[in-house]
Amino acid sequence: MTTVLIHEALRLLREQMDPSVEMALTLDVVPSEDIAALLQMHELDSDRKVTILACCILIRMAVMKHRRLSAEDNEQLTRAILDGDYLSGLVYRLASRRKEWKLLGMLTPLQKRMQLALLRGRAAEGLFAEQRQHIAEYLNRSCA
Amino acid sequence: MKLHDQLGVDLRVIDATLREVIRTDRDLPASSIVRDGILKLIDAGGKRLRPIMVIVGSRFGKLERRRPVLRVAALVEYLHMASLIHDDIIDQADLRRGAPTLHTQIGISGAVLTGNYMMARVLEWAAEAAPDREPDAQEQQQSQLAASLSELCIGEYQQLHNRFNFDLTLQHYLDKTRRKTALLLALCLRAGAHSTHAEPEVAELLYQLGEALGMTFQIRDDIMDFTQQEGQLGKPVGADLRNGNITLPVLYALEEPELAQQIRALGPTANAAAFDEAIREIAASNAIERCEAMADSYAQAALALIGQLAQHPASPQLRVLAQYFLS
Repeated sequence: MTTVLIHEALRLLREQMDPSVEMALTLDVVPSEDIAALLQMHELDSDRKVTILACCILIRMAVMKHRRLSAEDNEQLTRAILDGDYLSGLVYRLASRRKEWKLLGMLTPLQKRMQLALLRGRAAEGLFAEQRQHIAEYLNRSCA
Repeated sequence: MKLHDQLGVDLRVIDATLREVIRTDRDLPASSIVRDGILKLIDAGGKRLRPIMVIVGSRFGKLERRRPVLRVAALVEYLHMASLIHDDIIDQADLRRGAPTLHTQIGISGAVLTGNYMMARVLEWAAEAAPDREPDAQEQQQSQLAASLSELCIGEYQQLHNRFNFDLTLQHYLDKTRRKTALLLALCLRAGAHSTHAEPEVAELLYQLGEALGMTFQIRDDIMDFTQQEGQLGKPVGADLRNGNITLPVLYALEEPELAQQIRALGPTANAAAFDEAIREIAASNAIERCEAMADSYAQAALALIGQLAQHPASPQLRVLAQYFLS
Protein backbone atom coordinates (compact mmCIF):
# COMPACT_ATOMS: atom_id res chain seq x y z
CA MET A 1 0.00 0.00 0.00
CA THR A 2 2.82 2.39 0.79
CA THR A 3 4.28 1.85 -2.67
CA VAL A 4 0.96 2.81 -4.26
CA LEU A 5 0.86 5.98 -2.18
CA ILE A 6 4.44 6.87 -3.15
CA HIS A 7 3.62 6.26 -6.83
CA GLU A 8 0.58 8.53 -6.50
CA ALA A 9 2.69 11.27 -4.89
CA LEU A 10 5.33 11.01 -7.61
CA ARG A 11 2.63 11.13 -10.28
CA LEU A 12 1.22 14.30 -8.71
CA LEU A 13 4.69 15.86 -8.65
CA ARG A 14 5.29 14.98 -12.30
CA GLU A 15 2.02 16.75 -13.16
CA GLN A 16 3.06 19.83 -11.20
CA MET A 17 6.57 20.12 -12.58
CA ASP A 18 7.31 22.34 -15.53
CA PRO A 19 8.82 20.34 -18.44
CA SER A 20 11.80 22.72 -18.61
CA VAL A 21 12.93 21.48 -15.20
CA GLU A 22 13.90 18.02 -16.51
CA MET A 23 14.17 16.41 -13.09
CA ALA A 24 13.99 12.66 -12.57
CA LEU A 25 11.20 11.55 -10.26
CA THR A 26 11.56 7.89 -9.44
CA LEU A 27 11.00 5.71 -6.39
CA ASP A 28 14.63 5.93 -5.33
CA VAL A 29 14.94 9.73 -5.62
CA VAL A 30 14.67 10.24 -1.85
CA PRO A 31 13.53 7.96 1.00
CA SER A 32 9.79 8.36 1.46
CA GLU A 33 8.61 4.98 2.77
CA ASP A 34 8.71 6.21 6.39
CA ILE A 35 6.25 9.04 5.71
CA ALA A 36 4.09 6.86 3.45
CA ALA A 37 3.85 4.18 6.17
CA LEU A 38 2.99 6.82 8.73
CA LEU A 39 0.23 8.24 6.54
CA GLN A 40 -1.25 4.78 6.03
CA MET A 41 -1.69 4.45 9.79
CA HIS A 42 -4.07 7.43 9.86
CA GLU A 43 -7.67 7.90 8.76
CA LEU A 44 -7.32 10.62 6.18
CA ASP A 45 -8.71 11.39 2.77
CA SER A 46 -6.44 9.73 0.18
CA ASP A 47 -5.95 13.02 -1.73
CA ARG A 48 -4.63 14.65 1.44
CA LYS A 49 -2.27 11.74 2.06
CA VAL A 50 -0.86 12.16 -1.44
CA THR A 51 -0.42 15.93 -0.96
CA ILE A 52 1.32 15.56 2.42
CA LEU A 53 3.64 12.90 1.08
CA ALA A 54 4.38 14.91 -2.09
CA CYS A 55 5.30 17.98 0.02
CA CYS A 56 7.60 15.88 2.22
CA ILE A 57 9.28 14.41 -0.86
CA LEU A 58 9.81 17.92 -2.28
CA ILE A 59 11.39 19.16 0.96
CA ARG A 60 13.69 16.16 1.17
CA MET A 61 14.68 16.47 -2.48
CA ALA A 62 15.41 20.18 -2.00
CA VAL A 63 17.64 19.37 0.99
CA MET A 64 19.53 16.76 -1.04
CA LYS A 65 19.98 19.12 -3.99
CA HIS A 66 21.47 21.84 -1.78
CA ARG A 67 23.85 19.46 -0.03
CA ARG A 68 27.60 19.27 -0.63
CA LEU A 69 27.78 22.02 -3.20
CA SER A 70 31.07 22.74 -4.89
CA ALA A 71 32.32 25.52 -7.13
CA GLU A 72 34.33 23.14 -9.32
CA ASP A 73 31.68 22.78 -12.01
CA ASN A 74 29.64 25.98 -12.32
CA GLU A 75 26.99 24.43 -14.54
CA GLN A 76 26.40 21.60 -12.10
CA LEU A 77 26.37 24.06 -9.21
CA THR A 78 23.87 26.31 -11.00
CA ARG A 79 21.65 23.35 -11.70
CA ALA A 80 21.78 22.14 -8.09
CA ILE A 81 20.92 25.57 -6.67
CA LEU A 82 18.08 26.07 -9.14
CA ASP A 83 16.70 22.58 -8.50
CA GLY A 84 16.62 23.12 -4.75
CA ASP A 85 15.00 26.54 -5.10
CA TYR A 86 12.46 25.24 -7.59
CA LEU A 87 11.49 22.32 -5.35
CA SER A 88 11.14 24.62 -2.32
CA GLY A 89 8.87 26.96 -4.27
CA LEU A 90 6.85 23.99 -5.49
CA VAL A 91 6.02 23.00 -1.89
CA TYR A 92 4.15 26.30 -1.55
CA ARG A 93 2.56 26.08 -4.98
CA LEU A 94 1.30 22.55 -4.41
CA ALA A 95 0.06 23.15 -0.86
CA SER A 96 -1.58 26.47 -1.86
CA ARG A 97 -3.38 24.91 -4.81
CA ARG A 98 -4.69 22.16 -2.58
CA LYS A 99 -5.58 24.63 0.20
CA GLU A 100 -3.39 22.84 2.74
CA TRP A 101 -2.84 25.96 4.83
CA LYS A 102 -2.41 24.17 8.16
CA LEU A 103 0.07 21.80 6.59
CA LEU A 104 2.07 24.80 5.36
CA GLY A 105 1.84 26.36 8.80
CA MET A 106 3.55 23.25 10.19
CA LEU A 107 6.04 22.71 7.35
CA THR A 108 7.40 26.27 7.16
CA PRO A 109 8.92 26.47 10.68
CA LEU A 110 10.13 22.90 10.25
CA GLN A 111 11.82 23.79 6.96
CA LYS A 112 13.45 26.78 8.64
CA ARG A 113 14.80 24.71 11.50
CA MET A 114 16.10 22.14 9.02
CA GLN A 115 18.13 24.86 7.27
CA LEU A 116 19.56 26.04 10.59
CA ALA A 117 20.44 22.47 11.56
CA LEU A 118 22.16 21.92 8.21
CA LEU A 119 24.10 25.14 8.77
CA ARG A 120 25.27 23.69 12.08
CA GLY A 121 26.50 20.64 10.20
CA ARG A 122 23.71 18.16 11.01
CA ALA A 123 23.27 15.24 8.59
CA ALA A 124 20.20 15.28 6.36
CA GLU A 125 19.18 11.76 7.42
CA GLY A 126 18.75 12.81 11.05
CA LEU A 127 16.60 15.73 9.95
CA PHE A 128 14.39 13.44 7.88
CA ALA A 129 13.72 11.40 11.04
CA GLU A 130 12.73 14.61 12.83
CA GLN A 131 10.51 15.58 9.90
CA ARG A 132 8.72 12.24 10.25
CA GLN A 133 8.20 12.94 13.96
CA HIS A 134 6.63 16.35 13.21
CA ILE A 135 4.38 14.86 10.54
CA ALA A 136 3.29 12.19 13.06
CA GLU A 137 2.34 14.89 15.59
CA TYR A 138 0.55 16.88 12.89
CA LEU A 139 -1.43 13.81 11.81
CA ASN A 140 -2.33 12.97 15.40
CA ARG A 141 -3.72 16.49 15.82
CA SER A 142 -5.48 16.50 12.43
CA CYS A 143 -7.09 13.09 12.88
CA ALA A 144 -7.99 13.47 16.56
CA MET B 1 14.94 63.36 -5.33
CA LYS B 2 15.02 59.61 -4.74
CA LEU B 3 12.14 57.35 -5.69
CA HIS B 4 11.11 56.56 -2.10
CA ASP B 5 11.09 60.28 -1.22
CA GLN B 6 8.96 61.10 -4.23
CA LEU B 7 6.51 58.41 -3.16
CA GLY B 8 6.55 59.29 0.55
CA VAL B 9 7.88 55.86 1.54
CA ASP B 10 10.05 55.75 4.66
CA LEU B 11 12.83 53.25 3.98
CA ARG B 12 13.77 53.22 7.68
CA VAL B 13 10.42 51.58 8.46
CA ILE B 14 11.01 48.94 5.80
CA ASP B 15 14.54 48.26 7.07
CA ALA B 16 13.34 48.06 10.68
CA THR B 17 10.74 45.48 9.60
CA LEU B 18 13.39 43.49 7.73
CA ARG B 19 15.54 43.43 10.87
CA GLU B 20 12.58 42.45 13.02
CA VAL B 21 12.11 39.27 10.97
CA ILE B 22 15.55 38.06 12.09
CA ARG B 23 15.67 39.53 15.57
CA THR B 24 12.44 37.86 16.62
CA ASP B 25 13.51 34.38 15.57
CA ARG B 26 13.88 32.43 18.81
CA ASP B 27 15.57 29.56 16.96
CA LEU B 28 18.44 31.79 15.89
CA PRO B 29 21.22 32.33 18.46
CA ALA B 30 21.72 35.97 19.49
CA SER B 31 25.17 35.88 17.98
CA SER B 32 25.66 33.68 14.94
CA ILE B 33 27.23 33.94 11.51
CA VAL B 34 23.80 33.62 9.89
CA ARG B 35 22.19 36.34 11.98
CA ASP B 36 25.13 38.71 11.56
CA GLY B 37 25.40 37.99 7.83
CA ILE B 38 21.72 38.75 7.21
CA LEU B 39 21.73 41.89 9.35
CA LYS B 40 24.78 43.09 7.42
CA LEU B 41 22.96 42.47 4.17
CA ILE B 42 20.03 44.57 5.40
CA ASP B 43 22.34 47.30 6.67
CA ALA B 44 24.07 47.43 3.27
CA GLY B 45 20.81 49.00 2.09
CA GLY B 46 19.43 48.95 -1.39
CA LYS B 47 16.75 50.66 -3.40
CA ARG B 48 14.02 48.51 -1.78
CA LEU B 49 12.21 48.76 -5.07
CA ARG B 50 10.00 45.75 -4.46
CA PRO B 51 8.74 46.81 -1.01
CA ILE B 52 8.15 50.28 -2.47
CA MET B 53 6.01 48.70 -5.18
CA VAL B 54 4.05 46.76 -2.56
CA ILE B 55 3.39 49.99 -0.67
CA VAL B 56 2.33 51.84 -3.84
CA GLY B 57 0.01 48.94 -4.70
CA SER B 58 -1.46 49.07 -1.19
CA ARG B 59 -2.53 52.68 -1.76
CA PHE B 60 -5.13 51.42 -4.24
CA GLY B 61 -6.98 49.50 -1.55
CA LYS B 62 -10.02 50.33 0.50
CA LEU B 63 -8.42 49.96 3.95
CA GLU B 64 -5.53 51.48 5.89
CA ARG B 65 -3.63 48.39 7.02
CA ARG B 66 -0.06 49.32 7.83
CA ARG B 67 1.07 46.05 9.43
CA PRO B 68 -0.23 43.63 6.76
CA VAL B 69 1.31 45.83 4.05
CA LEU B 70 4.69 45.77 5.80
CA ARG B 71 4.41 41.98 6.11
CA VAL B 72 4.06 41.63 2.35
CA ALA B 73 6.80 44.23 1.76
CA ALA B 74 9.21 42.28 3.96
CA LEU B 75 8.23 39.02 2.32
CA VAL B 76 9.03 40.19 -1.23
CA GLU B 77 12.30 41.80 -0.15
CA TYR B 78 13.41 38.62 1.60
CA LEU B 79 12.46 36.61 -1.48
CA HIS B 80 14.56 39.04 -3.52
CA MET B 81 17.53 39.06 -1.10
CA ALA B 82 17.57 35.26 -0.88
CA SER B 83 17.51 35.05 -4.71
CA LEU B 84 20.41 37.50 -4.89
CA ILE B 85 22.50 35.36 -2.52
CA HIS B 86 21.92 32.35 -4.78
CA ASP B 87 22.43 34.41 -7.97
CA ASP B 88 25.77 35.73 -6.70
CA ILE B 89 26.98 32.15 -6.27
CA ILE B 90 25.80 31.17 -9.76
CA ASP B 91 27.35 34.32 -11.28
CA GLN B 92 30.55 33.84 -9.26
CA ALA B 93 30.24 37.45 -8.09
CA ASP B 94 32.69 38.52 -5.39
CA LEU B 95 31.10 41.89 -4.64
CA ARG B 96 27.60 43.27 -4.22
CA ARG B 97 27.12 47.00 -3.62
CA GLY B 98 30.85 47.19 -3.02
CA ALA B 99 30.81 44.65 -0.18
CA PRO B 100 32.00 41.02 -0.32
CA THR B 101 29.18 38.64 -1.27
CA LEU B 102 27.97 36.23 1.41
CA HIS B 103 29.40 33.08 -0.18
CA THR B 104 32.89 34.59 -0.26
CA GLN B 105 32.63 34.97 3.50
CA ILE B 106 30.91 31.79 4.69
CA GLY B 107 31.29 29.44 1.72
CA ILE B 108 28.86 28.27 -0.94
CA SER B 109 26.91 25.74 1.11
CA GLY B 110 26.54 28.15 4.01
CA ALA B 111 25.29 30.92 1.72
CA VAL B 112 22.79 28.65 -0.04
CA LEU B 113 21.39 27.45 3.29
CA THR B 114 21.25 31.03 4.57
CA GLY B 115 19.16 32.02 1.55
CA ASN B 116 16.87 29.05 2.22
CA TYR B 117 16.62 30.00 5.89
CA MET B 118 15.65 33.59 5.00
CA MET B 119 12.84 32.39 2.77
CA ALA B 120 11.41 30.00 5.34
CA ARG B 121 11.86 32.45 8.23
CA VAL B 122 10.04 35.34 6.56
CA LEU B 123 7.10 33.08 5.78
CA GLU B 124 7.07 31.79 9.36
CA TRP B 125 7.24 35.38 10.65
CA ALA B 126 4.42 36.52 8.37
CA ALA B 127 2.23 33.64 9.55
CA GLU B 128 3.03 34.22 13.25
CA ALA B 129 0.60 37.13 13.23
CA ALA B 130 -2.27 34.67 13.17
CA PRO B 131 -1.08 31.26 14.35
CA ASP B 132 -4.27 29.58 15.52
CA ARG B 133 -6.82 30.13 12.83
CA GLU B 134 -7.41 29.46 9.16
CA PRO B 135 -5.32 31.92 7.16
CA ASP B 136 -7.17 34.80 5.58
CA ALA B 137 -6.98 35.76 1.91
CA GLN B 138 -3.88 37.82 2.45
CA GLU B 139 -1.99 35.05 4.22
CA GLN B 140 -2.95 32.77 1.37
CA GLN B 141 -1.50 35.40 -0.97
CA GLN B 142 1.75 35.20 0.99
CA SER B 143 2.03 31.47 0.35
CA GLN B 144 1.28 32.14 -3.29
CA LEU B 145 4.09 34.70 -3.36
CA ALA B 146 6.44 32.03 -2.03
CA ALA B 147 5.18 29.74 -4.75
CA SER B 148 6.37 32.29 -7.31
CA LEU B 149 9.92 31.22 -6.43
CA SER B 150 9.39 28.19 -8.66
CA GLU B 151 8.25 30.46 -11.53
CA LEU B 152 11.41 32.57 -11.17
CA CYS B 153 13.45 29.38 -11.36
CA ILE B 154 11.73 28.32 -14.57
CA GLY B 155 12.99 31.53 -16.19
CA GLU B 156 16.50 30.62 -15.03
CA TYR B 157 16.13 27.05 -16.33
CA GLN B 158 15.02 28.38 -19.69
CA GLN B 159 18.12 30.57 -19.82
CA LEU B 160 20.36 27.70 -18.78
CA HIS B 161 18.93 25.30 -21.36
CA ASN B 162 19.29 27.84 -24.14
CA ARG B 163 22.91 28.90 -23.74
CA PHE B 164 24.22 29.69 -27.22
CA ASN B 165 20.94 28.49 -28.74
CA PHE B 166 20.76 30.86 -31.71
CA ASP B 167 17.45 29.29 -32.78
CA LEU B 168 15.68 30.66 -29.71
CA THR B 169 12.33 32.19 -30.66
CA LEU B 170 11.14 35.67 -29.77
CA GLN B 171 8.28 34.09 -27.79
CA HIS B 172 10.76 32.07 -25.77
CA TYR B 173 12.79 35.19 -24.98
CA LEU B 174 9.70 37.12 -23.90
CA ASP B 175 8.47 34.23 -21.77
CA LYS B 176 11.84 33.89 -20.01
CA THR B 177 12.04 37.66 -19.45
CA ARG B 178 8.53 37.73 -18.03
CA ARG B 179 9.36 34.98 -15.54
CA LYS B 180 12.83 36.18 -14.58
CA THR B 181 12.14 39.89 -14.18
CA ALA B 182 8.60 41.07 -14.76
CA LEU B 183 6.70 38.52 -12.68
CA LEU B 184 7.97 39.58 -9.26
CA LEU B 185 7.37 43.27 -10.00
CA ALA B 186 3.84 42.45 -11.11
CA LEU B 187 3.24 40.39 -7.99
CA CYS B 188 4.52 43.22 -5.76
CA LEU B 189 1.97 45.72 -7.03
CA ARG B 190 -0.86 43.18 -6.92
CA ALA B 191 0.03 41.78 -3.48
CA GLY B 192 0.17 45.33 -2.11
CA ALA B 193 -3.29 45.99 -3.54
CA HIS B 194 -4.65 42.75 -2.11
CA SER B 195 -3.24 43.57 1.32
CA THR B 196 -5.57 46.58 1.59
CA HIS B 197 -8.53 44.85 -0.08
CA ALA B 198 -8.41 46.68 -3.41
CA GLU B 199 -11.06 45.83 -5.99
CA PRO B 200 -9.99 42.69 -7.93
CA GLU B 201 -10.03 44.52 -11.28
CA VAL B 202 -7.77 47.26 -9.86
CA ALA B 203 -5.36 44.65 -8.50
CA GLU B 204 -5.33 42.97 -11.91
CA LEU B 205 -4.54 46.24 -13.71
CA LEU B 206 -1.70 46.83 -11.26
CA TYR B 207 -0.38 43.35 -11.98
CA GLN B 208 -0.39 44.05 -15.72
CA LEU B 209 1.32 47.39 -15.08
CA GLY B 210 4.11 45.73 -13.05
CA GLU B 211 4.58 43.23 -15.84
CA ALA B 212 4.79 45.92 -18.55
CA LEU B 213 7.26 47.98 -16.49
CA GLY B 214 9.37 44.88 -15.83
CA MET B 215 9.46 43.96 -19.53
CA THR B 216 10.46 47.51 -20.51
CA PHE B 217 13.14 47.59 -17.84
CA GLN B 218 14.65 44.24 -18.85
CA ILE B 219 14.67 44.93 -22.59
CA ARG B 220 16.40 48.26 -21.97
CA ASP B 221 18.87 46.49 -19.70
CA ASP B 222 19.55 43.99 -22.50
CA ILE B 223 20.14 46.87 -24.93
CA MET B 224 22.56 48.60 -22.51
CA ASP B 225 24.58 45.41 -22.33
CA PHE B 226 25.61 46.22 -25.92
CA THR B 227 25.55 49.99 -26.05
CA GLN B 228 27.17 51.10 -22.79
CA GLN B 229 30.84 51.13 -21.81
CA GLU B 230 32.38 48.63 -19.41
CA GLY B 231 32.84 51.37 -16.79
CA GLN B 232 29.12 52.19 -16.84
CA LEU B 233 28.02 48.56 -16.82
CA GLY B 234 30.42 47.33 -14.13
CA LYS B 235 30.99 44.22 -16.26
CA PRO B 236 32.36 43.53 -19.76
CA VAL B 237 30.32 44.90 -22.67
CA GLY B 238 28.16 42.11 -24.13
CA ALA B 239 28.53 39.97 -20.99
CA ASP B 240 25.18 38.30 -21.70
CA LEU B 241 26.27 37.08 -25.12
CA ARG B 242 29.69 36.04 -23.81
CA ASN B 243 27.85 33.86 -21.26
CA GLY B 244 25.65 32.39 -23.98
CA ASN B 245 22.57 34.29 -22.88
CA ILE B 246 20.57 35.11 -26.00
CA THR B 247 18.84 38.45 -25.51
CA LEU B 248 16.63 40.53 -27.79
CA PRO B 249 19.44 42.47 -29.55
CA VAL B 250 20.99 39.13 -30.56
CA LEU B 251 17.67 37.72 -31.75
CA TYR B 252 17.06 40.73 -33.99
CA ALA B 253 20.66 40.76 -35.20
CA LEU B 254 20.25 37.12 -36.21
CA GLU B 255 17.65 38.24 -38.74
CA GLU B 256 20.38 40.09 -40.65
CA PRO B 257 22.08 37.41 -42.80
CA GLU B 258 25.69 38.65 -42.63
CA LEU B 259 25.52 39.27 -38.93
CA ALA B 260 23.79 35.95 -38.37
CA GLN B 261 26.73 34.07 -39.82
CA GLN B 262 29.13 35.89 -37.52
CA ILE B 263 26.97 35.34 -34.43
CA ARG B 264 26.32 31.67 -35.16
CA ALA B 265 30.07 31.06 -35.21
CA LEU B 266 30.20 31.99 -31.51
CA GLY B 267 30.06 29.42 -28.76
CA PRO B 268 31.56 28.48 -25.39
CA THR B 269 35.00 28.00 -26.95
CA ALA B 270 35.05 31.09 -29.21
CA ASN B 271 37.83 33.56 -28.50
CA ALA B 272 37.33 36.98 -26.94
CA ALA B 273 38.18 38.81 -30.18
CA ALA B 274 35.33 37.06 -32.02
CA PHE B 275 32.93 38.11 -29.28
CA ASP B 276 34.29 41.68 -29.28
CA GLU B 277 33.71 42.03 -33.00
CA ALA B 278 30.22 40.51 -32.98
CA ILE B 279 29.22 42.71 -30.03
CA ARG B 280 30.45 45.84 -31.85
CA GLU B 281 28.49 44.84 -34.97
CA ILE B 282 25.31 44.17 -33.01
CA ALA B 283 25.63 47.53 -31.21
CA ALA B 284 25.94 49.31 -34.56
CA SER B 285 23.12 47.37 -36.23
CA ASN B 286 19.45 48.04 -36.76
CA ALA B 287 18.75 45.46 -34.05
CA ILE B 288 19.19 48.08 -31.32
CA GLU B 289 16.57 50.35 -32.88
CA ARG B 290 14.14 47.46 -33.15
CA CYS B 291 14.76 46.58 -29.48
CA GLU B 292 14.06 50.16 -28.48
CA ALA B 293 10.79 50.01 -30.42
CA MET B 294 9.86 46.83 -28.55
CA ALA B 295 10.73 48.43 -25.19
CA ASP B 296 8.69 51.48 -26.17
CA SER B 297 5.67 49.33 -26.98
CA TYR B 298 5.75 47.89 -23.43
CA ALA B 299 6.26 51.41 -22.04
CA GLN B 300 3.19 52.60 -23.99
CA ALA B 301 1.20 49.66 -22.64
CA ALA B 302 2.28 50.66 -19.12
CA LEU B 303 1.17 54.24 -19.64
CA ALA B 304 -2.17 53.08 -21.05
CA LEU B 305 -2.73 50.96 -17.93
CA ILE B 306 -1.94 53.96 -15.74
CA GLY B 307 -4.52 55.86 -17.81
CA GLN B 308 -7.12 53.24 -16.90
CA LEU B 309 -6.41 53.91 -13.21
CA ALA B 310 -6.40 57.70 -13.61
CA GLN B 311 -9.55 58.16 -11.52
CA HIS B 312 -7.90 56.72 -8.46
CA PRO B 313 -6.34 59.24 -6.00
CA ALA B 314 -3.10 57.21 -5.88
CA SER B 315 -2.72 57.21 -9.66
CA PRO B 316 -0.07 60.00 -9.77
CA GLN B 317 2.21 57.68 -7.79
CA LEU B 318 2.11 55.22 -10.66
CA ARG B 319 3.40 57.95 -12.96
CA VAL B 320 6.32 58.48 -10.57
CA LEU B 321 6.99 54.75 -10.58
CA ALA B 322 6.73 54.60 -14.37
CA GLN B 323 9.10 57.52 -14.76
CA TYR B 324 11.64 55.63 -12.67
CA PHE B 325 11.39 52.54 -14.86
CA LEU B 326 10.96 54.23 -18.21
CA SER B 327 13.42 57.09 -18.05
